Amino acid sequence: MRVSTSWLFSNGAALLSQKQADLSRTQQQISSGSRLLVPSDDPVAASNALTTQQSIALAEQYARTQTAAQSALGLTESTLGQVGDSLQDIRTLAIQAGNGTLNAADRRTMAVDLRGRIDALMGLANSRDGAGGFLFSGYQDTVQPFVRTGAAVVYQGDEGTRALQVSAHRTMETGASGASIFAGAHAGNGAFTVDVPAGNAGSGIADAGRVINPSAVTGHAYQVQFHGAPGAMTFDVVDSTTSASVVTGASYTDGMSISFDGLQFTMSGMPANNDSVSVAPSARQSVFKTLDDLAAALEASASGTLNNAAFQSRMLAGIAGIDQASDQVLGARTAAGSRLAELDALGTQVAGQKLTYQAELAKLTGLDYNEAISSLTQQTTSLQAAQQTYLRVTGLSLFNYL
Amino acid sequence: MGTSLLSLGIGALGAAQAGVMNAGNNIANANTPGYSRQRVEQAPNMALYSGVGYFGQGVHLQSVTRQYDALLASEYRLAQSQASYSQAYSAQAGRIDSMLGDSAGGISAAMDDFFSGVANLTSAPSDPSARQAMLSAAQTLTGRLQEMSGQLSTLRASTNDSIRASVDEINGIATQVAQLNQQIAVASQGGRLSPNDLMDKRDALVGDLAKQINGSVVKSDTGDYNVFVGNGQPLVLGARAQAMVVRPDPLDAANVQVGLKNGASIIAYGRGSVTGGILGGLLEFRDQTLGEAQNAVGRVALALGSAFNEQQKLGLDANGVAGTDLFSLGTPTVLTTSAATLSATVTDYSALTASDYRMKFDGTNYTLTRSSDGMQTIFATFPQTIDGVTYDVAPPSPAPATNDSFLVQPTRNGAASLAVLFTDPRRVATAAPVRTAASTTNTGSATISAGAVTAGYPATPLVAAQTLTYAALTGTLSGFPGGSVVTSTLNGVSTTYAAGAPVPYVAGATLEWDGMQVQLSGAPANGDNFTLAPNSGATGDNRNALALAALQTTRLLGGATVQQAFGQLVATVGNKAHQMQVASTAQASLVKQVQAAGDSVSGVNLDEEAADLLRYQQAYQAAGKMFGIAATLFDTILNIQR
Repeated sequence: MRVSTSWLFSNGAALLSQKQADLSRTQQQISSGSRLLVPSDDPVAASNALTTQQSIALAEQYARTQTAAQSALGLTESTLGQVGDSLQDIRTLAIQAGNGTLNAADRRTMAVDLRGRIDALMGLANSRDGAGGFLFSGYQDTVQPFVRTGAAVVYQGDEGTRALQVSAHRTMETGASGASIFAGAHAGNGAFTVDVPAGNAGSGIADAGRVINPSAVTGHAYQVQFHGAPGAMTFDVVDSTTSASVVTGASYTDGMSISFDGLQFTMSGMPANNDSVSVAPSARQSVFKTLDDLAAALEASASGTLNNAAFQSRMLAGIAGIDQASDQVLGARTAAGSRLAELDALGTQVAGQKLTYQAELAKLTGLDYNEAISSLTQQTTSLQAAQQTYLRVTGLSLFNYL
Repeated sequence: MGTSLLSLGIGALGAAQAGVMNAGNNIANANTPGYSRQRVEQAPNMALYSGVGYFGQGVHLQSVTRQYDALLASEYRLAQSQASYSQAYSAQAGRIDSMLGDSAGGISAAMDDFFSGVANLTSAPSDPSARQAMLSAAQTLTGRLQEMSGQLSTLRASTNDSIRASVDEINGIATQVAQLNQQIAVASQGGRLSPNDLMDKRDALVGDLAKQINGSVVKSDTGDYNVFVGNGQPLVLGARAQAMVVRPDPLDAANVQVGLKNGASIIAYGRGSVTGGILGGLLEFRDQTLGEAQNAVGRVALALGSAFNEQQKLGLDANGVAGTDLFSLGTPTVLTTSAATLSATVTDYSALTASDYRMKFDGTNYTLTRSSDGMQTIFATFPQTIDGVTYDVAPPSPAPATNDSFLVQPTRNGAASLAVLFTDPRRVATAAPVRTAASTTNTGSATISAGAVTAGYPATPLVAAQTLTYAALTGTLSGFPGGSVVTSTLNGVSTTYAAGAPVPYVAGATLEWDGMQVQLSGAPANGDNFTLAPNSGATGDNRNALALAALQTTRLLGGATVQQAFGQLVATVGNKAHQMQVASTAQASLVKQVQAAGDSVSGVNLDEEAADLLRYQQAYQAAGKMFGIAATLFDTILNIQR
């Protein structure tokens, strides 16, 4: 075949520029560290790389959210720990205050102490998070949750609980509202309250009672009425909701357990004729109301306006109330603790996912440096060879010999 | 004898001289594009009869021919037009390809950043800096989308410019070919002579034409080149060239249309009529890949923007006010020359496609054709909803006339129009509009869920607290607004209660009315109250922010998330660019092969010419010697007499 001279030149030059383009491409790949310079190099890998990059971004996002959740839950958990300790201290104080050997002055001191502790507890309930928002006011994080209005402590927040998306399939509550922690417990023993009116003349002290047969509980209020004199004391129980008589003329002995409709409470001491005890289903009550009632009983007792029987009964009811509130706080604290543990597990999981995605991305777009360097060397050699042959071939001419 | 040797020598000398001159001419034109090697054809003179036989009478020059293979040339033109087509397409597609491939500064990264901003907002809904960061990320995202849309529009404009340039080139070539046809006819003197250089020039021109457009070159009996393009329309007929024209598309002013002048009228080329060459590549790129890319980016922008806006409206902002649209959304473009007003409104963003639509009225029926796959929908009345777009003629008068046509681009300007509507970070709706509570006086253990709202909520927003009360005797809930229908759903089974009808309490069932949803579970006691209240002051509520963040992984576009849809676009464009690159490389090597084959016939090899030079030089010297010998012979005769 004839080869024209211009073809020899143009073809040689075209081959050289092709080799240079290949070399430059490899150089670009090496300097960018990516196998794909433009999506068309490998469209499927490029599209998958985008999805994988989004998965990595999501994993990083979940890790950030987990950190936020961890700090919120950690703060909640530690605050609730202090609340629990504080409630235990108050319980101890209440038990001491019930000691019959204390005089009025001691009780007054204790009342002052108790008031101080209530204020401290309120301080904890009004804790703020790192950003200055209230920890326990639900959604309204700029509203102080517990405010003393007159004699009562009022909850200003709501029952909302913030949740965070901590992994692809887990939305985790990162706190608890003040309503559920501090006002979520039921008063009394959690099912009903036993109240010894201040007007009782006898020395009958009622404890907080208990449910002995949940299936028999009616949810009604009752009035227990004592009749007769010591030695021949009887009592009636009337369902105040339906006005039906539940127990009639049962005889009373000191320290006996009075049971009806699945409820039971223990009565000690001797009530006077016409003394009464009211039993009512308990509603949810704020821990501050429980403690305020306790302090008020203590103060009334110290000032002599409350007789011992009613005082002792209220102390017992108050301690039961503190137990209910403590359980509530403990429940919330345990929930926070277990979520923190779950977060640790999720953190490991998300970090693992991120690593997997990163490995996948490296597979999709990453450059195999060994291969790239070796092909760079090969291409350099090949370009050099092409340059040399070009010079040799184009240098040949018959005219050199004419 | 001597005289005849002299005349023989003169002929030989002339032939050798012509050979040397021709070799010189070949050497001179060795690098001239389009030049075909020429050869001097020589033949022996008529022999002279003598008694012993025929004596040769020397040589004479016959013609100068060019070494040219018409078959190889037509093969070359075909290969060249296909190579130019894929090269032009590949070069343009490569520009979109690298736009989309920019992973760090691209749309994909901006989208990740934006959603990251939204997700950060869920951890700190009351933090002004988190709100600001999210808004800034939204502005970056819309900026990127607008930028990409702008780049694509610029690419469309520059493609149109290139189309114009290509047509100019075609017209220039056509005119020259027509002129050469005429010149060659004159110079060939009725086909007796071969005007080699003019013919080379004409062949080079039709070769150049093949780079611009695929046409067929037919050589007429008279030696003219007739060139036909498109569906067989003549571009060059003998000495006459038809002008190709570029004019604005009557429907879409952003596009130009290519046509061929036919007398006073213009035959417009529809899609696919112009094949091959740079012009074919540019047109196909513009109408296929570029349009699809613009539409697909717009579709992603519209789906994201509309979903975000809808969710914004279901929440409350930091001022406790119902959220408003965060993004402005582009509307479908309707282009027409009709007097009637066709309105196209997007009614379902998730059903949108990345295609344009053409609608034509035949007097009775309307035919809507989806450009991407040619799917047709035929209907006679309005309104019609097709692929998420509702079409209507509003106002109904004037009605469309027969043969009116409309071009609808539902998503073309989606990305360009996407903008952030407010700059006050407090207006991002992070909170849900309702909150719930179980009354503190409740004695039962029933709880109420946090409450959620559905798309129907903004129409009937909660203005005052509503209290649901449980009645143990009937086991029902009361307190729903008098005019509201309540739906109770448990385990996927829904029961609807008419307005005012008692709603039985079912533990764990989800109750929905007025676009609000709550779930009550546990055992309520008689008279227990549950309230739903407007969520005022809820700066710490992140429920709506969670819903906004969840849009990242929600399949907003017919089974794909926005990120996936964008990935699909990258894959589609990447595939097309890749395909065209491969085709371009393959065609280029075919062109090279055909060119090498053609060059082996027509190209000049300097060594060969050097050999020819030597050959003819020696022939010339030998012919010169003839004169010397003739003189010596003549002298010998003269000396005899002495």
